[in-house]
Amino acid sequence: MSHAFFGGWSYPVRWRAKGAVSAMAMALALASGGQVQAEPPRLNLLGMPGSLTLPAARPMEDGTLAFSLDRENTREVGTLTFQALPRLTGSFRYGRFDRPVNALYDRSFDVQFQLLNEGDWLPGVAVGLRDFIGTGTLASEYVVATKSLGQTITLSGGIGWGKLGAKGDLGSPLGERPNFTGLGGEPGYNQWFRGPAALFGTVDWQASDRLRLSLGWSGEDPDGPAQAGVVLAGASWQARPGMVVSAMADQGGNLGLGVQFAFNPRVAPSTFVPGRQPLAFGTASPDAGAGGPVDRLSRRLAEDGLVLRGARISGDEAVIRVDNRSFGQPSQALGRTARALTGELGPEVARYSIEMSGPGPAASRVMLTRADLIALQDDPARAEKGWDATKVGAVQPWRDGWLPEPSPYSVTLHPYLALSVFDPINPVRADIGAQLDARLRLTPNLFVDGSLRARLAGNRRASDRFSNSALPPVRSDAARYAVEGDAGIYNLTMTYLGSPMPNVYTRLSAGLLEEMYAGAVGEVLWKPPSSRLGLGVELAKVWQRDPGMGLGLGYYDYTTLTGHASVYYAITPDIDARLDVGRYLAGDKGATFTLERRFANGWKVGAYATLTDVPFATFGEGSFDKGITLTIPLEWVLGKPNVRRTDVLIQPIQRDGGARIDPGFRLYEAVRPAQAADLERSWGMFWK
Amino acid sequence: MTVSRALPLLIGAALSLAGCMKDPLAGLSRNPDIKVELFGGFAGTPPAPVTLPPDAPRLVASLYQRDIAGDVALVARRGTVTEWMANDGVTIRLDGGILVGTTGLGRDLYAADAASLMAAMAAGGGSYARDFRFMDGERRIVLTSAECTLTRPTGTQEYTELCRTGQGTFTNRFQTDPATGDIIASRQWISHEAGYLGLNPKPNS
Repeated sequence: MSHAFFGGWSYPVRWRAKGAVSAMAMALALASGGQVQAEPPRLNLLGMPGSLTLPAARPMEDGTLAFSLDRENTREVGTLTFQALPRLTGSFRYGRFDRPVNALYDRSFDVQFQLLNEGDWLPGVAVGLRDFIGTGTLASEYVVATKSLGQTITLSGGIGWGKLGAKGDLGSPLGERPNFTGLGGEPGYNQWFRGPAALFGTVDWQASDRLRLSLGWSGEDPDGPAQAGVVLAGASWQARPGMVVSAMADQGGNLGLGVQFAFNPRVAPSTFVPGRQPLAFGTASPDAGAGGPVDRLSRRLAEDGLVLRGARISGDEAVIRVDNRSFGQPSQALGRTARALTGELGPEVARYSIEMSGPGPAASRVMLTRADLIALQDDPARAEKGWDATKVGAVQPWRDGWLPEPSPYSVTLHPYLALSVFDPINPVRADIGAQLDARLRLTPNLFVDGSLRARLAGNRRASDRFSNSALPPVRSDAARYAVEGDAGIYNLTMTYLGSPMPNVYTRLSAGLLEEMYAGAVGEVLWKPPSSRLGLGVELAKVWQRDPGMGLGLGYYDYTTLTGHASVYYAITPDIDARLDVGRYLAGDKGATFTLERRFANGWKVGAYATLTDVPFATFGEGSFDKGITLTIPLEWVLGKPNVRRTDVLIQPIQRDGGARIDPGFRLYEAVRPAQAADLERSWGMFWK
Repeated sequence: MTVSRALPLLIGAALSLAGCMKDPLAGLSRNPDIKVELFGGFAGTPPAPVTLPPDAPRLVASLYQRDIAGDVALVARRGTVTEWMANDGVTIRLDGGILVGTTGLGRDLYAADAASLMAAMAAGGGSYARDFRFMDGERRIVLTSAECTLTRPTGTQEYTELCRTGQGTFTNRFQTDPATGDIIASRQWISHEAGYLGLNPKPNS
């Protein structure tokens, strides 16, 4: 049966067009393992803090991302682990679990929270949930304590429930464990810490800088109750910084082999490469040529890939509008602009107001004075003092002072990599090809964007996992696009960006919005530059495109109205929460809750869950949509200024409930980096 | 194919793709509006080669950790602050001869204060605090405070500055001109990763 599409596994990772180059860069960064950690993370075979297959109360360094592969007698799994906060570790796992009859391909999520940090005398204590959303193949809960003895010995011990408690030497201290029911994907609250409990423990001996030997005792249940309660022994070897290989065996004859790669987004893989160094503040560029101050300023900015789009110089004040097409860090683009202003405008212009658009609309007005800039450039505390001397306000409406666009069109040719993962027949499928991006700038606020893709090689076309969804196949037919879309128009839109009043941003895009949908999308965002709160509304009328990436819309005859009201809140400058409430692509209504860790260098790691009025049974396997998002700035990988970034969406199961369109970008993501909170934490880059 | 076999393969494929596509299309990019971006490609705008001013004063700079040395030329002077550049674009910033910043060395010294050391030098020695700032991989400024002691054996013009930070110690050495007191040669700490920078007068200039 050609529609034997079980679960809608296919296509959960959608590498967007602009992410294509960086997909390789990411792989390179991961494989190079050059990111030295102060203390290499100690992860067990399942990719969580610990050793062997057992947990320990010893979190990784804050921000660390790790990828682990584990091969044991009856399972083969890969785990992505993130140290989301200093005390909170989370992971997503996918793999094959052999069963007597057939293999189960299953996903699972773990969390571990450090209740108490290890002290000189007291052990660290953590509580964890293993496989707490899903079908519960590994479902366990535990409390664990860990203490170092001297430099080389580490002891861990704790109590486990679920699979970890199978031996049941402690009875069922907190009551009976109800059986698992449902389709998977729902947290099994009523099971947690219930049923038989057992003790587990490990002794780790750091035999050398690289070699660690471990001995453990587990009440785990690898193959059935008969074998419950086993002694485990293993070794792990740090093959290179950021890479650990492990092997273990247990009393029941289970053998395990693992490899782990770890890196931290807070540690750049490549250091900043020497290139053209900026001229000092107050220094005119010899290459800016003759002409008036605006002409010189424009040429000077162009040397840095910045485009002067508007200038009004009156009295002692200059107000300029600059488009940043080079720098991933808005603060660095602002610093280069400020250098140009102090160098190319005379000392009679004492005050500067810079409004900078980047990938999105201009989102703040940054006000600086010439005197501060010149006085602070050699101050050792310039990053802090410079920020204190900077005012950030709202963008003001522009009526006159626009300058002609120097490059009305631009074309970029680059490779792309498209991945489909978690298909049980072939868990990773990939296509590579060439992509041509073009942008035509019609007015400062109006442009046309288009991308053509041509597939060169890959095996995504071999997929036959088409939709069996009870809902309209709004996303579950993604495989069909991979099969039929060898070459074609990936997207083609006309976009208007505006700011009709201070703190309000608007966007209207129409055309072929993304690979699967055409139509029109409008968005309004309210986000004052110094506010933690943002409010947004998005509304789209879309038609599902033909799978061949042509201009046609006839294949599906599916059209819908979709839209959301959104609340954005910055809990801290590094953590965003977001709630979207509205109508999704399949016509279902509901809400998405997102939490995102935002690093100052542009990295973002987030997790979201969407609950809609689609019953879990209709949604299918997984019950509701959830996933992990990563944003990787190319600048981080390359170590030199670059405005591009990669957005990665990892969905354990892509079904049709809770699906949204992908309009390329959303206003908040474009506006937020240019505003006060993000500028402040990266203001060191202003002086680079 | 299973997860554990497919992923390394995929990473390998991505790597080989990245490796064999190192900007072979850069030549296409004659039109400044057409940009060809491959892995790391930035083909439209290669970094401009650095031409050092021929008549500017020069110093010989050495990076002991990498065992390299080369000329740096004076490119800017603001009060007591001077900026020096090597022909690969690396810059060194000095305040009265004291290293207060580098760029292009990887783990650069973002900023350091010089005032307390200058005062101690004027006094012939002493103990004082000095702040060093670095930029971490997240592009945040990290402040490292050092407790330093400056000594000079009597009858010499050589100062030794021993500084202690939370991460360790380093020792800077300065040789001063007996007539003017100016620093004429030095070995100064950049960062834990970049090690020490040597600065010496250029022999025939």
